[in-house]
Amino acid sequence: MIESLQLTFFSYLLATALLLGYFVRPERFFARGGVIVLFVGALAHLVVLVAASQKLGHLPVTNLSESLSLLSWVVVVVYLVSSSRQSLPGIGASVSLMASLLLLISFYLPKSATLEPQELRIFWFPLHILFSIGGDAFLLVASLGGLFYLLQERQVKWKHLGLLFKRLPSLEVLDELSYAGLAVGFVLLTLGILSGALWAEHAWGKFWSWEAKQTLSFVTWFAYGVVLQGRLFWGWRGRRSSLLSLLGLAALIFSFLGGFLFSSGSHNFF
Amino acid sequence: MNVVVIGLNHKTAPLHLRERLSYRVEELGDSLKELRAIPSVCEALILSTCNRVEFYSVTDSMEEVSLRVEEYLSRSRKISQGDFSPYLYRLLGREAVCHTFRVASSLDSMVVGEPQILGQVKEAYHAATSVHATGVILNRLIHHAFSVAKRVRTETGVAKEGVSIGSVAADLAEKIFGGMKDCSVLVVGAGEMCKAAVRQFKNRGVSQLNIVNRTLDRAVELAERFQGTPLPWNQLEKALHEADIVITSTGAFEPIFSAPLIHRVMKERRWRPMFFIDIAVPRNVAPEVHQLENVYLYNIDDLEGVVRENRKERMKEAELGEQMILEEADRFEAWLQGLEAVPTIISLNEKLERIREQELQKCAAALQNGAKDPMAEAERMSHAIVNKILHEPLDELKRASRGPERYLYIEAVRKLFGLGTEEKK
Repeated sequence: MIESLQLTFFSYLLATALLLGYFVRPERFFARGGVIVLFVGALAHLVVLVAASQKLGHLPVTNLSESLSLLSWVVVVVYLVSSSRQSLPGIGASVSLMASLLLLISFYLPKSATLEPQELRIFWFPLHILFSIGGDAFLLVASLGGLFYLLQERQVKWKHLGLLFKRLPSLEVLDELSYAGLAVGFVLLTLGILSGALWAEHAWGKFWSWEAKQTLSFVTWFAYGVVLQGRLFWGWRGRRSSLLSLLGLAALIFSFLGGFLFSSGSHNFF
Repeated sequence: MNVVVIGLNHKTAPLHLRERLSYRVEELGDSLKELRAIPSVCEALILSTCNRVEFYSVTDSMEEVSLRVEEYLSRSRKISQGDFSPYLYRLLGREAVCHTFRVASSLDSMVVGEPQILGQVKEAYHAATSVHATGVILNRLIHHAFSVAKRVRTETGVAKEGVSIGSVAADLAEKIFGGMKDCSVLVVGAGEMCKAAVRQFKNRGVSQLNIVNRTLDRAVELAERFQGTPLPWNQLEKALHEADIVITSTGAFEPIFSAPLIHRVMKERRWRPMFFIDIAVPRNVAPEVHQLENVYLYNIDDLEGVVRENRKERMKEAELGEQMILEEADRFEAWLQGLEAVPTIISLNEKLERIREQELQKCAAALQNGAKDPMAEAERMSHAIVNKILHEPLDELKRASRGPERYLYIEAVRKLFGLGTEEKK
C-alpha cells in the first residue's frame, strides 16, 4: 500500500512535468503522456483509498490528512473526466501540481482519528463525505477554469498573443469548464450539507448546531448560489463569473479548513 | 553522378524576369523532352511557380549542363542569356540536395511554411514522370523531399501560426469561441481584404454568415460566393444582434458601431462574448468598444502586429527545419554514394567471395566426414554457388519485368553478362 501511495505521488509529479513540457513545446507526446500518467496515478490512488477503507471499515476521512488525500484524487478524476470530453492539456499541469501538493501536505499532517467508530458507521456519513469532498473538487476545478479564463482573457484583451495565449484552451472551453464545475459542485455541496445534517441528527440528535464549519459552509453555499443565479439569470459570465468563482474559492478554502482552525464540535478534524 | 539545380527565385531575381522565364504546366512535357535530348542531361525536372523557375538534373559535368540549360532557356523563352544569367544560382551535389529539400519543405518560400509549394513540387514531378524525364536519382530525391517536407511540417512549427490577416483573425476567434460551428458571422462591407478573411472563417466551419453592404448587389455577390445571406443596409442593427463575430470593411468616415450601441447589444445577448474585426481605414468600430466586458475589438494594426510576430516565430522554427534538412541530406548523400561504381564493385566482390567461402567450407566438411565421391561434391558445390549468385538478381529481374523500368533492367543484365544482342549476332 505504501508502494501504491508512492506510485501515486510520483505519477502526479511526472504528469506535472510532462504537462509543463507541453507548455514549453505543445506536442501530442506531452499532452497524451501527461494525461496517461495522471490516469495511472489516479488508479494507484484508488487502490490506496480502497485498501484504507477496507482496513478501517469506513471511508478514510477521519482527519485533515485523509480528507486532503481523497480531495486530491477527486480533483484528478474530475479533470480526467473533463479532458475526455474536451482536450485540456494547457491546464493539466496546474491540476496535477495541485494534486501533488495536496498529497504532499497530507503526508505531513497528523493522522490521528477523532470520531467514535459508531458515529462513522451511520449510513449518512459516507454520503456526507462523498458529496462534500466531490463538491469541493468540482468547485476547485471551476476556480481553476476561472483562473485560466482570466489569464487567457487578459491575453486577448491586452492583445498580447504570446505563449500563454497559444497554449491555454479557448475562452469558451474555460468558461464551460468553470460553469460545469460550478453547477455540479453546487449541487454536490447542497447534498453534502443536507446529508451532513441528517448524519448529525443520527449521531448527535441535532440537525444543525451553527458550529464554525457549518456556518462557513452555509455562507459558502449561499455565495456560490448567488454566483450561479447571476450566471443563469443576469448574464454574469466570462470575466465576471470567473472573478466570482475565485472569490468563492477563497470562501471554500476558508470553510474547508474552518473546522480545523476553530476546532470545536464534530468537524474539529477537518 | 551528382544532382544539379539551376534556377532563380524571388530572392535572386525580380518579378518581371521570373514572369518571362516561367513555364505553364501544359508546356512542361515538351520542354522536358527537349531537355532530355541534350546529351549531358541524364534526368530532368522543371519546377516553375510564381516565385521560382528551377531545373533539376543529374550529371557528371556541372559546367556542361549549366551551359546547355542556359542556352535552352534563352532559346525557348526568347530572351538573351545576358539578361538572366547573372540572376541564376547553380547548385551542385549536397548544396543542390539541401536546396531541393528546403524548397519542398517551404523553407525557401517567400512566406515560410506556406503549404502550396509542396503541391507545386508534386505537380512538377508528375509532369516529369509522365514523359519519363526522371530516373533513379531524381525519383529518389523527390520522394525523399516529400518525406522531409512532411517531417519539417509536423516536427517544427513553421506552418503553425497564421501569417495573414484572415488566418490570425480566425485563430483569435477560435480562442474566444472554441469551435466556430455555432458562431454567427456578420460581414459589413465587401472589400477585398474582407473576402480573404471570410474565406478563412468559412474554411473553419462557420455556418451562419450574414452580409450587409450599402450596395446590396455586392452583398449578394459575396453571399453567393460563400453561401451566406445578403441583407440590405437598413437591417444592419438587427443582424448585429445575432452576430458573434463582426468583420467590418466599409469606406465610412465615421465609426458605424459606437460603444453605447454595442453596450446595448451586449446587454441583450446577456454578455455572451463578441469579437469585432475592423479591417477598415478609417475605422468602422469605435475604439471604446474594446473596453466593454466580454467584447474584443481588433483593428488592422493589431492584426498586422500579430502577423509580424508569427512571421518571426516561423523564422525561428525554420532554423529547426534547417537542421533536419542537413540530417536528411546526409542520408541522401550516403545512398547516392552507394550508387557509385567503385563501392558497388567492392560490395559485389565481397558478397560473391562470401558465397564461395561458405560453399567451400561445406564441401570440405563433407569430404572430411567421409563423403565417397569428391567429384560429386564438387558438382554439388558448383551448382550451389551458381544458384546462390543468381537467386536475388533473377527474382529482382522478374519483379522489375512487370514494372515500367523493365527495359532498363533487361538491357543492363544483357550488357553486364555479355548475353549479346541482335547486332552482335
